[in-house]
Amino acid sequence: MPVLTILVFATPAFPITHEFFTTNSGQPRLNVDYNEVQTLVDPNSGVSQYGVNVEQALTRGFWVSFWSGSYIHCDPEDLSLPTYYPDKPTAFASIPWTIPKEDLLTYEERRAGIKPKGAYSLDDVAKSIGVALHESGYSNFYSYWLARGHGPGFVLICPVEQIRADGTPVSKNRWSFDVPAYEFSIKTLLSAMFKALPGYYRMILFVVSEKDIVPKDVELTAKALKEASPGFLEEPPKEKASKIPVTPGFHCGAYVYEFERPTRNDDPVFKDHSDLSARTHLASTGLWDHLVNELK
Amino acid sequence: MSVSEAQQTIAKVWFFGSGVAIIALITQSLFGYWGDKVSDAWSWFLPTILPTLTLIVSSVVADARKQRRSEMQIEQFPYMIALWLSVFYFICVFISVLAGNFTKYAPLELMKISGLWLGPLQGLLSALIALFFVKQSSS
Repeated sequence: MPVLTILVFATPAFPITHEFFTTNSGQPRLNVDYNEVQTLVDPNSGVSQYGVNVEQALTRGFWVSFWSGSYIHCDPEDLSLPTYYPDKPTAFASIPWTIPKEDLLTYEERRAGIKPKGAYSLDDVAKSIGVALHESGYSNFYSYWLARGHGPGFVLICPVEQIRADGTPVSKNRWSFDVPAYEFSIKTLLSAMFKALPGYYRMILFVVSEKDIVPKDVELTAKALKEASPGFLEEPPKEKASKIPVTPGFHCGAYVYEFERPTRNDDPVFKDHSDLSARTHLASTGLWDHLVNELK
Repeated sequence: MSVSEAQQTIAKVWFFGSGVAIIALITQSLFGYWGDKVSDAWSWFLPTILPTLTLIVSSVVADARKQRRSEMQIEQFPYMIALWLSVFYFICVFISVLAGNFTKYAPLELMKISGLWLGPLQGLLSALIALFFVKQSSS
C-alpha cells in the first residue's frame, strides 16, 4: 500500500474520465480502493476491462479516490445527497488557513523540500486536504462538487469510522458500522460482562466553498447513511478544479456527525450533541495538525 | 449410591447454577447491559432453566412433605452423566449470558444462536433428570 501510494503521488496529473470508474449500470464509482482496482484488471492480459493498463489503472484509481481528481456534481438543495446534509451536525470546526498560498506539489516533491510556484487553485486545496487525510489514516473518501448555486467549492466525505468515547479510533473494525468489538484489558473484563458496550461512530465532512453552506432540514439516520452511495453524477463544472482560483473569500469547515449505539443490541442513532468538540475529533487522529500544516 | 444422594447432588448443581445465572442476569439488567431489551433477555433465559428446575423443586418438595428418603440404589453411570451434563449445560448458559460483549454477535443474537446447542442439551438432560426425580416421586 505505501509503495503504491508513492507511485500515485509521483504520477503527474492527467485527465481523469468519469467513464473509467463507472459501473455496469453507468453509475459513477469514485470510492475506488486498491482491491476494487484489482478486480477491474484481467489477470491474463494485465489489461483492465476498460482497456486500461494495470499500472494506469492503479494510478488512476488512486488518483481518483485520493486526489479528488474527479468530482461529483451535487446540489445541497435538491435531494441528491440528503443524508450528507443534516440540519444539525454534531460538531463543526473552521479550519484555519491562509489564502492565497503557494502552489502545491506532489507528495514526493514536498518531502524533498522543493518550493512550490504558481497559482493556488481549488484542486490544490483538495490535494492539501487529501494529504492531511492520508497522513491521518483516511486513505479513501468521496468528493463532490458543490452545485452552481453554492459553488465554486467541493465536499470531501470521509467514510464512517468507529471510535471510542474519547474520539480516538478503535483498533479493530475501524471503518465499519459494525457492533463494537471488545478491546481486551484486565480493567474492563468484568464490567464488559455486566455492562453495556456502547459503540461510537463518526463521519467527517469537509466543505470548501466561497459561500456558507446552508444545512437542510433532513434527519440523518444510520440506515440512510448505510444506503447512501455516490451515484449522483451530473455534468461536472465546465471549469477544471485546477483552473478555479482560490480567493480569500473561501473557507474550509469540518462537519462532524456522530452516531451512538447504546448497547450492542441496538442500532446506531444520530447524536444531536456531543461531549467532544469538532477540533477534538480532528485532533484525535492527528488530522487537525496535518490540516493546519497543509493549509497554513 | 442411593437415589436420594444423587438427587441432592444434582439438585445442588441446578440450584447453584441457576442462582449464579439469575444473579448475573439481574446485575446486567440493572446496569443497562440489555438496554431496552431486558424483557427479551429474560424471555430467552427463563425457559432454559425453569422446566428442569421446576421438576427438581417439585420432587424435592414432595419428598420433604412425605418425609421419605429413598434408599434405592442407582447405578453410578447415569448419575455421572446427569451430573456432568448439568455442569456442562450451565457452562454453556453462562457463556450465553456473559459473553455477549466478546463475540461478533450482539448479546441478544448470541442468546438466540445458543439455542442451537442448548436445546438438544436440555432435551438430553430432561430425560436423565427425570430418571432421578420423576420415577422417585411417582414411586
